[in-house]
Formats: sequence, structure tokens, C-alpha cells
Amino acid sequence: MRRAFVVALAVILVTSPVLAQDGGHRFPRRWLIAGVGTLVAGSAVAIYAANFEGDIGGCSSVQCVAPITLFAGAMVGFMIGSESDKLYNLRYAHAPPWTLRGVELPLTVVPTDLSLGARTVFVSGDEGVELVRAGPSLERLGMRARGLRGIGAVTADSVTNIILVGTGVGLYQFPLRNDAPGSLAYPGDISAISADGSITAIGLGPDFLLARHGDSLEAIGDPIAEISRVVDLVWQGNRTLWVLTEDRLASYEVRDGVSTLSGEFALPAVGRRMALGGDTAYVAAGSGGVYAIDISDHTALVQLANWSGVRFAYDVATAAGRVYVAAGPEGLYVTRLDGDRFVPIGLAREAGFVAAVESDGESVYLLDRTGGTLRRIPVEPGR
Amino acid sequence: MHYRPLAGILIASLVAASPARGQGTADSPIAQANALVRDAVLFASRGDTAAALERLERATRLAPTLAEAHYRRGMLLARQAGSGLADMFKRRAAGAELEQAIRIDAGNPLYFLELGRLRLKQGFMRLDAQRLFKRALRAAQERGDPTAVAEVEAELGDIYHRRYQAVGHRRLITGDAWQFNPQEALGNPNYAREFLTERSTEIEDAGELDLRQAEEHYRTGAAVAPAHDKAAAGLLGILFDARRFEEFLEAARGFVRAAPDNSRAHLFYGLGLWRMNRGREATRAFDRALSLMTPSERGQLTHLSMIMRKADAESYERLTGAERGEFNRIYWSANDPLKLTIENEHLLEHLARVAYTDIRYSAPDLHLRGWETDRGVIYIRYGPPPVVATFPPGTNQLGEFSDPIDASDRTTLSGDPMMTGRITTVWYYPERNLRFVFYGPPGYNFARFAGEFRAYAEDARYAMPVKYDNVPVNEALDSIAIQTALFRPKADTLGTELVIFAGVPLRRMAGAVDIAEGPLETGLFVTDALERSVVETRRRETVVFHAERQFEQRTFMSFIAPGQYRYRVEALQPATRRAARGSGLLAVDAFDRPALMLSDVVLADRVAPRTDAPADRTEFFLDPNPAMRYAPGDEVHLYWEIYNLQADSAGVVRYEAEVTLRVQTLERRGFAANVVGGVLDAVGVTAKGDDQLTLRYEVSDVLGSRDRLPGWVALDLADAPNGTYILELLITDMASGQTFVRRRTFTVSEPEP
Repeated sequence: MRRAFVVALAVILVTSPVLAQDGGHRFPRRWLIAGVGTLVAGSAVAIYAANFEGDIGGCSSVQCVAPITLFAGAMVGFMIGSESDKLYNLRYAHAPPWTLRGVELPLTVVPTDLSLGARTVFVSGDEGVELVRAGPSLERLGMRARGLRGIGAVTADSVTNIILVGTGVGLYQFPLRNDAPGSLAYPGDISAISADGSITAIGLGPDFLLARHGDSLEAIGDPIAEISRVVDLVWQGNRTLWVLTEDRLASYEVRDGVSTLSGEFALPAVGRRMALGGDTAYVAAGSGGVYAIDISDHTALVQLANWSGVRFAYDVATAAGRVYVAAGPEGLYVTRLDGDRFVPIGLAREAGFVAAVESDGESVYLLDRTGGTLRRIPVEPGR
Repeated sequence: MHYRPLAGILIASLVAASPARGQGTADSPIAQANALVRDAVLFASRGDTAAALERLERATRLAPTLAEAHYRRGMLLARQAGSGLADMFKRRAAGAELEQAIRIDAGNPLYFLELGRLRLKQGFMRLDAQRLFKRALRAAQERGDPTAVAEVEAELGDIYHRRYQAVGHRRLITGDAWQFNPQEALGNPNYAREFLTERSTEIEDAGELDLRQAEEHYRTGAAVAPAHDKAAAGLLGILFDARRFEEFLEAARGFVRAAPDNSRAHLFYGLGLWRMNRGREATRAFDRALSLMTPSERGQLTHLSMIMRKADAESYERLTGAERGEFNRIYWSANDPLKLTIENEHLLEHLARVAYTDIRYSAPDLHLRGWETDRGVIYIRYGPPPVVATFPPGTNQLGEFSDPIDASDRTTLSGDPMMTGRITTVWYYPERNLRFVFYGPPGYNFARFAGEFRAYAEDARYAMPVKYDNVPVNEALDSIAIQTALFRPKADTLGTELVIFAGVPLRRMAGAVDIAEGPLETGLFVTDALERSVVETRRRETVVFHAERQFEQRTFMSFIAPGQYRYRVEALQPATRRAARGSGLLAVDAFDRPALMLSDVVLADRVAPRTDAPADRTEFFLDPNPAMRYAPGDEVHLYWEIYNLQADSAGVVRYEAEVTLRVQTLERRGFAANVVGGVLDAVGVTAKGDDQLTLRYEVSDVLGSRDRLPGWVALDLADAPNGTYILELLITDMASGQTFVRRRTFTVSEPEP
């Protein structure tokens, strides 16, 4: 029991967030724990001194035992603290700690991805798509697409009130307002979807397709070939479609259902997800980090900045001048773009395994894949 | 044990570092020493280490300042030396040579690297090894040699990762126990579960610092030399263990691109693809990996003995290479969980497990590939352990322990000297209550079975040679009830007509699915004894998932030559990935004899002729009962066909049908039956019995142009109790006196809810 107590004490000391504050200075643990070690050793010495009954030779006198014990206690504490400092420095090598605020909701699905609709968050997982009301208090609304496996992309069309769910075998549509059974809208390996109310863009592996949504999904023309797998699609207004593939970001101008490539940016890393913020597109590019690309001129896309402080960028979102990067097991990085460079603001490690992040401008929603929770953090300008 | 990659590295490094020709004049000592070094390289590459060492020794005497000679001699000695006491002098000699090489040329990273590796063989010198690797790293960076940088980074990564392995999954004992007791875990089936759930808790983030540092080193190594095997494998191992599969896949793809001819790169890529459920691509990656391997390495990787019972494995070992290849093909074909899918999920899982053991448990310093280790073998048999726990070396492992709580308990931990100073690692598979305990020295990527766990593993192997519980397709694999029936084909058709009635559990497969309808793939697969395809029928249809009544029966027909076969009927809903399967052995008779013959008896829920004189089963409403299972009170309908009845001069055939019902297992005794439908001659026949009854009746009919005479009856089993019954149909041709008998087994039981 004594040993367990000592180990538990050490663990608590090493891992406690006593001084880990939002971007604040952290007092080196090696000194703190060395002090604790000295105190513990001092207590032992005091007990020894109280029970001391006479020198029996060697280093048994209090004058000899005391400095040695105190030194040993301080050294052990110092070494434990040094390890803690090293770990801290590794964890926060690229950004200081950032405390998460907001609320979290345990999910009923084992989550894999999330997407955001109007007032609704869609969390996809092995068991289907869980609907959560977006807002200050996350409220579970229900499940859709139960039983479907391999769900990869989800989007909602608020005009037709349907949810589109992409899987490896097809695109399925479900009513948003009730849990009536869904139906197959388009067969194929669906890698991405985006609906703008009138036209739906569907990623079909290395191709994408535009479809019009009435009573059913009606393809507009033939699939358009991209150079590699389409991983994300984002509408900007109803005339510009951003197509992110593993190898490039491309913009297409869509007129009367006809899409024309207007600009492209070759990614030096593997593209995964993207977000738009004004005239800037942010691309999460896995081990390549995050790219900021100037899209003010759709025909001439220019890289503004790249940040590879994150080990692996799973997803990216932006709101109020902040860029939120889902960094998997590292947590959530918060950065901002300052001219041609990203300035890291903080890292929220307690966010868990952040596999996906979305923002509606007012809130940021993150998915903790291993913890199985959805978290909403309010966007606070300046923080 | 042979370790081909290590030999390759050794030879490559010897050749790469061979001294440049033309140093000094031809007869100068330096030139002579260089010539001797070149000879030594040749001898070493041929495996003649003694001759190589002798020449290197002469070279160092001739030219004491020739660093290369010292380095090579030191390296050869170091590679020969183990970590035991017996090799202490060899290690010391190797160390002296390498230190001499460093004194002469302190800028060569390879010298530091080799000396560091030597230090790793001495456990207490590991810190010095780390210091040497850091010096090697500086030297490599100064030289601008990316391969050397990657090599050193990988070594540093290994050091940190092995430190992590010693503390990763570390448990804090919270109960009154002093230590996890492997002996207790062996004897008490509840001990491991209770200890892991109630008496210990996992220390979160234990060893994170070492793990992060290991990852940084591997990552840097892989970044400077993307084709570097060891750095890439180290990084991939960490990503895989943390279930960072997206990262794993991207890193593995980078490795493949940088080293397209490296079989391990494709192997690891296949592992990542399979874990991301991309089976088709995984199949291609594994195929590519196997094609790039030497026959010997391929043989090791595809060897199946470890997933067989010991006796079977011994027989397997005696096969020739070609026979083994054919056996492997048959084995994997028979073990494919779903032939409807393009990929063989169990084969992919097996290869993925082997690939993982290669990443995680290979120990080049011990000349071991991952699949040869104890942990590797268990991983390949049972997959990733759901619960892993490690416990530190105790202070009580010398047999001197007495429990502080119960001083009289001196037996629980005593007497296992193998445990001294070793990390205890527990793998627990809760689903089957399998637990395996390993001991391993800290700082080495090696652990072996603790105590009697080798024997326990053998017992487990006998009961369950391999398990693929973690394969997604098995998670939702239902069963298909099947009734097979053989009929004589029409005169112009060869073979025997095989009809398979399958009950696809569509209601269960469609349960709790939110789509109204979706595709259903079904298939019949018949293979011969050598698993060669004989019949393969695939169908695709759309089924309504939320129908009130599901039509679950599917019928497959085929013509097949007499023989022994294995059949399978499969169903798959691609959208839900729910599947079902039924299989069995099939003995196909010939119907080519002129004597009286009888088709199989079809057990059905309803049989009714469509015409007055039906010629064969196509002229019947036939609602088969694939499961051959009836609810109490259900009528049992039978259908059969009689061939070669002898007609009299008026064209009339007469036969006697004798239906015997025998009880196989019964909940209570005594039952009765009467014929309530079928040929008119039979209706009204009744019988009673304790455990057997016989219904007998005669039939006369005009054969006319028919080549067979169909027979059918409906039996009312009244209050026949739940149980299993054997039905025997004996037909006697009244004209010729010939008889023929067929049997079926069916069950009466309460219907499923």
C-alpha cells in the first residue's frame, strides 16, 4: 500500500495541471517536485530524529542522515520533475496549453466523422448518423442511417430537408424531420458530398458529379474526372465549387449545371479536409500540416502559409480569425494567420483524439474519437 | 536462426565501406592492408567469418592506423557476440577495435553506430550506447549522409521505444496484492480478469515521454531517408499501436513510394489498408509484397503451422514446398468467410497479423523475425489482445517473498527465477477468457512465455488453433439454413441435378436498418475436395428491408457429376455489410442405373400439384423448408420422385410407400401421425408409436409419357412432441420387387420469436 501511495503521489504530481494555464508561463516542475521531495525527505528525517536513540556508528547520526536523506529526496524529486518538464516541452513544443471551454456530449455511436448543417451536427459512426442540435447546449435529436456501414461523408440540404449519407456502395438520402427509412440516391463509392440547396456535388472516388435534387437525385451531366481521390467538396455561394483531392485544391465555376475548372493549387502533401474563411482556404494535409491558400482570385490560387507544427492535421475549421486544427491524439490546435505565417495560439490536449472539427462561425464543434464525445466550444474573438 | 535482412545489411555495409583502391603504393603497408581488408570483405560475404577475421587482424598489424580495418574487425566480432556472459571477451575485443577506429577517425558515424550497437548488448551500458548514437548522429549530419542519419535516428528511436515498452500499459496495483502472479493466472480462470479489472488500474500516459521521443527519432529518420526500412517500420509501429490508422496509411504510402521494391513496405501498406477496411487494395499490396520476397521469406510468411494444431502442423511441415503451396491454396479457399466478396478476409487478416508482428516483435539483435517470437505467434493466432497490461519487476522475485498481508503465504510468488528483473506482460482476451503471460528483460524487444504458459498456449492451440473474431465480416455473419436435394436430370442432361433450398435470414439481416430497400447478393459455391470451383452462381437483387413478410427462400439449381463436394450458400447486403452463410458436405449420387431409384425426399411446408398428372417437381407448388424445422402442430410435407418403376402391360405402375418416423431425441415419449394430404391412396393412413411408427400405403398410377413418378404426402404429426426425428421413406416396386430407401432428419421445436 505504501508503495502504491508513493507511486500514486508521483503520478498526481507529474500529471496534475496545477500550473498549466492558458498560454501562461509554467513554473518548471523539476524545482517544484524537488521541493516536494525535500519536504518528504525532511519529514522522514524528522521522524528519524524524534526516534533517535544514539549513534550506532557509520552514518547513523542525525547530522549524517539528514543531509543525505534531504539530498536524495531533492534529487529524486528533481529527476521526476525533469521528466515532467521534458514531456511538457514535447507536448507543447508548438503551442502553449489552451483550456477548452464549452460543453460536451457523450455520443451513442462510435464516432468517425462529423459535419455541420443548419442548426444540426451530424456525427457519423459505425452504427449510423447521430443528430445533435447545434447550439449552447448540445441536445441529441436522434439517429439516422442505422445499419449502414462504411459511412464516409454526410451533408444536409436544408431546402429539401434531407440528409445525404455517403458510403462505399452508394449515396443514401434520409428525411431530416422524421426517422422514416431512407433510400439509395446514387450508387458508387462516395468519397465526399456538399449540398448548396439546389445542386449537390458528389465525390465519386477520383471523379465528382453534380446532381440536382428534386424528388430524387438527378445527375447533371457526366462525372468530372479529377487527378486523384476527391476528399472534400465545399460550395462558395452557388456558383463556385471547391474540390479538394489528395493532390490539389481546385475551383470550379458552375453555370447552368456546367462546371468549368477555373483555378488550381497543387498540394505538396496529401489533402484531407478544407475550410473556407473569407478569401482564404485552409487545407488540412495530414503530415504536411495546414495550408492557407489565397483564393481571392479563383484563377490564381496562391499559398499564403504552411504550418507543420501539428504532427498530422486531420481536419481544419476557421472562425473569427482563428484556425482550429484537429490534430488527432495531440488534441486541438488553435492558430491564427498573420500575413504569410501561422501563429500558434494554443493546444487543447484534453480534447482527446480530435479527428474532426467544424465551425458555424459562432461555435466550434470537435469530435473526440477515442472518448466518444462531441464538444462545442464558443468562438470568443480575441481568445 | 537465419536472419537474412541482417546478413544483407552486414554485407552491404562491408561493401559500402570497403577502402578505396590506390591508397598508397602497391607494396606499402597501407596498400597491403587495404588488399587484406578487401579479401576480408569477400570472405565475410561468403560467410567465412574466421578467414575474414584472420585477414583483418593481419591488416591491423600491417597498418595500425587504418581505421577501416579496425572497424571491420570490430563489427564482425560484435555481430558474432551475443549478450551473455560467454561472449564477454568477444564483446571486449570488438569494443577495443571499434574504439581504436574512432580514435583514428572520429568523424565516421558508422564507427560510433557500431560501437553503440555493441553497447546495447550489455544492458548496463545502454546509456553509453545512447551517447554513442548521439555522437554518430552528429557525425552523420556533419557528413550530410542521410542514410547514416536515418540509421542512427532509428537506433535512437529503438532505445526510447524499448524504454517505453517497459512501462507502456503499466498497471498500478490497487488491491492488497503485491504482484501479478502468473501461476495463479494459469490455474485460476478468473484470476487474470479479476486482477485486471478489480485489483489494478492502468496508469494513463505511462512512458509517454519515451514514446514521443521514439516517434520523433523515427519520424526524423524517415523524413531524411524515406526508404529507410528501420526508421519507417519504427514509426509505423507507433502509429499502428496508437490506432492512428490515417497517419499509418499515409506514412506507409510514403514508404512504398520511396522504396517500391521493398517487400516490407508493401506488407506494411497492406496492413494499413486492411485496417482501414480497404480490402481490395490490401489484397493488391500483400500480393505485391509476396511477389517481391525471396522464396524463403515468402515461405516463412505464408507458413501455416502456427495456426494449426500441433499434429496437423507436423504433417504440414513434412510437405514439400509445392505441396505446401497447394495446401495453402486449399486452406485459404476453404477458410474464406465470404466468397461473394472479392477479397479473402481471413487471408488478409492473417497477412496483416504477420505484418504487424514483423513491425512490432522483430528483434534483429536477436536474429528473430516477429512471427517467430512467442508474442508474435499468439498475435497471429488470436489477433490483437483487447487488454494488455505490464507489471514491473518485483523485489520479490528471488523466491524470498512473504506476503506482507499474509505472512503464511509464501507460495504465491516464490520460486520463479526466470521472472527476476523481468517485465511481466499480460495479454487478456476477455471474450474467450484466454490469457497469456510473458516475461521480458527491460530494454530488449523480446519476451517469452512465463512459467507454464507455453504449455497453456499449446492447450489453447489444440482447442482453438486460430480465431478471427476481430474481422469485421465475422461480426455480423448470420447462418443460412440449407436443404439439398438430388434428382435425376432430364434424359438429355449430364450429371445429377442438384437443387439447393436456402433460407436466407433476411428479417434478421434487415433488422434495425434505416433504409427502405437495398441490394442483396446471393451465391452458390460448390467446390471439390481440392477446393476447385465446380459451380459458382451469383445473383443480385433488390430487397425491401421493411416488408411485413420477407420471402427468405432462395433456390439454386445446377447439374453436377457424381462425387464428393463442399457447398456454400452466401448472402451479403453490401450497404449494411451484413452477411449470412451456410455450408456443408455433399455426396452426389449417380442416377444412371436402370434399377429402381429414388430422388432425395424434400421436406416442405407445402406441396401441391398444379396439374392432375404432374410429371415432375416443376408441376408442383413446392414451398420447401430449408431448415427442416417445424413448429408443433405443423404439417410435414414430403416430395420425392421415383425413377425406373416397371409398368405392367397396361402401362400401370404400382408401388408401396412406407414412411417410418423414428425418434432421435425427444422431450417426452409417444406420438402419432396420419396422412392428411398427398396421393389419394395415402390419405387417412394413421399410425401411433412410442419412439417409432410406420405409415404404409400402396399407389397405382399410369406412367404414360412420364420418365418419373412424383410422390408427395402431407403428414399431420398431431401433438408430436418437440424433438428430432428421422424420416425414412422406403419405396417398393410391386412389379419388380425392387426397393429403395431415403432418409431425412427434421426437428419439431417452438418457432423462433
